[in-house]
Amino acid sequence: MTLQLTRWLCLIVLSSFSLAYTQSDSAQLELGFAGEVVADTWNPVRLVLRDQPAATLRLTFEHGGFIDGELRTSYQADIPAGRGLYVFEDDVYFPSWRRLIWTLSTDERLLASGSIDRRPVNPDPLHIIVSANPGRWRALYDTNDRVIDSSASYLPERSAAYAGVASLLIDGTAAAPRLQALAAASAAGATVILLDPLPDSHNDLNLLSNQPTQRVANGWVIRTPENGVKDALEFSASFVSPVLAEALFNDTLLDLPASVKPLSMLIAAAVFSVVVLLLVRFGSVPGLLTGVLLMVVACFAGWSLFRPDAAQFVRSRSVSVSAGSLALTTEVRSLFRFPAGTLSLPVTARPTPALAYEQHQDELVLSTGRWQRVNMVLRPSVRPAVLHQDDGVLSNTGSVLLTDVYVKGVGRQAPLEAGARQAISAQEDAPLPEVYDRLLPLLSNGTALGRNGGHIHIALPPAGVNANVLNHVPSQQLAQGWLP
Amino acid sequence: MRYLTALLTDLSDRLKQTDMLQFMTLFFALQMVVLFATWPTNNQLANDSWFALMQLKALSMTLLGVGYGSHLSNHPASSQRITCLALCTIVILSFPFDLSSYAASFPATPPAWTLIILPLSTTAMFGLGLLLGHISSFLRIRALLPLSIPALIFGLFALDISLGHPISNPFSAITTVAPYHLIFVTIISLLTLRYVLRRKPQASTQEVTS
Repeated sequence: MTLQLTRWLCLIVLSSFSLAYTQSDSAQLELGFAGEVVADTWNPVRLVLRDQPAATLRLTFEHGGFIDGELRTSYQADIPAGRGLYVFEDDVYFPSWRRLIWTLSTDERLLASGSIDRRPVNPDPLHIIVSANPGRWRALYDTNDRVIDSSASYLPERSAAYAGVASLLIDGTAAAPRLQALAAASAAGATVILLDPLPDSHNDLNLLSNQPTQRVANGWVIRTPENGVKDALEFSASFVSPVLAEALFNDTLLDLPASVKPLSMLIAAAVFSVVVLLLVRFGSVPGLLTGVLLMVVACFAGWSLFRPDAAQFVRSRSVSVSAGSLALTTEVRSLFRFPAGTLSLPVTARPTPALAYEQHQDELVLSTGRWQRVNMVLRPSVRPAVLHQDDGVLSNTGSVLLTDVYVKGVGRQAPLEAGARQAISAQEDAPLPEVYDRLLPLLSNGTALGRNGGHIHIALPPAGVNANVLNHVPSQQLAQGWLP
Repeated sequence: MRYLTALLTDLSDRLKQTDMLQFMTLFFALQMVVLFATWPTNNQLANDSWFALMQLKALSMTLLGVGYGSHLSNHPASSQRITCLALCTIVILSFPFDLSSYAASFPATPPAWTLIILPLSTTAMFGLGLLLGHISSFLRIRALLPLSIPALIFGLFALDISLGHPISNPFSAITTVAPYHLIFVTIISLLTLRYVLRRKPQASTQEVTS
């Protein structure tokens, strides 16, 4: 009995050493929301430091599978030295890892470290409750939902942080969250549920929405009394914001320059060979020297004829999904490199399909093989919307001409000049850009599209659904873009 | 100047001879076939023509170098010198094939590497062929030269495998920068040149090869 007790005590002491090592008093790292991470998407990372020297935070993901093989991806950020409290925040793409290791170190020593195995890897989205009494609402969620509590002050004001968040419930009992944080969450595709009536301390949130339901960029803001919270949660569970970035990639996104045909190459080689052979055979010494001179000329000619103008080609395309004045913009880049080598790109992105890479704070470093194409999805960001639709009118508030304007379910529209407004009307159909063919199946009827070169602007159909209607409309129908 | 003119005349005469012309024609034709067969028809496909071409050139020049070297081991130095120079000239005249396929293939190896290593390797293989010919003559087994030539090449492979570095194998070193191989072929080439330049020409190449 004594021996067993001693063993247990030893175990507890060892465990406490381990925790103290990974989360020292002077450095605390929090991944995701309240330690909950959504795999295969962007998650917030928060590092709280006290009186620390300049250090480097490094997250290393060991991932991959049968097809990709073992991959090693890392994220690295330089943390400046500082006295007192310093909070570092960023959004990092978390693949489905087999092992996640993090370290905080200076050049000389390791300040803190830790590792997380694959058990917590879960791609299911999070439901966040901001409340003084979150237990009150937990019963309304599905048993399989990942529900967490968060304080209002912790909510980031970056849309990428909410890529793995399905809903955000604010009941007004805790401190008011910042308006920017809720706008970022909604823009990322989350459903923000505000419990009506909210206390005066939450008056700022009225700027976000003054209607029972309102689309904000890629997500929704729903104001509902207490008895409507369950319906709103069901709606948020059924609403899946369209993932459009992958649809922007295709073989024609990056057109490589035409290469010399084999027959042309063969003819050129045959002409050179015959001339050299004739010079050597019949030209004696002058012929031999002319052959050598011809060889030099042919070297230069062959190099300039067969070498492409550039060793690397990059094409980008972006899609902005908007409702109201905000748009969630996601940019994709397709890169092709002829030679093998290491690339440094000034972007924060995730390669697709998965590759081994190093993400620094503003720089992506990856090794490419010979003749390799790399597709990247950049971290999404919120920007002012350019294309709007309201009361059957399309408007362009940007500074560029929008062409190929199209409303799904209605048809092609006239191009929209910068600052112009025009009523939606049925017009004669004309062929659409090829990229629309891949986007339209992902969008609901009433969605407007327009583009400025490779920048595609999507205005989701407006939604002025009142709370009573919400109770009578199947969630699936709302998710499909039901129009009042 | 007179020596250079004489050398160029001898070289031109040697290249005009049937065996060299036939070899040069075959060498160029093989390169064209390899390039045509490996050149992609679609610009989305990787162009790997340079790698195939380099293997062909390494194989051709190794076989020809060792073959000519062993065959000419009991011939006058002038004949050995001019034949070695003729083989190197053929390699140099085929540089446009190398550079054109290099330009389209984007290998990681620097272009200068192949331009340097091919003539050096040809000279070194010629020298090894001379050595093989002398050993065969000494042992009175010249009849076995058709077997000992591939055996020598196999020996170069085996040496690399046992040492664990690309030192003597001309096939693995041609598409990858291998400093040890460069040292190896440079030393052998210098010894070969030292050997074939050991005395003044005693007979014209016409007499030797006729």
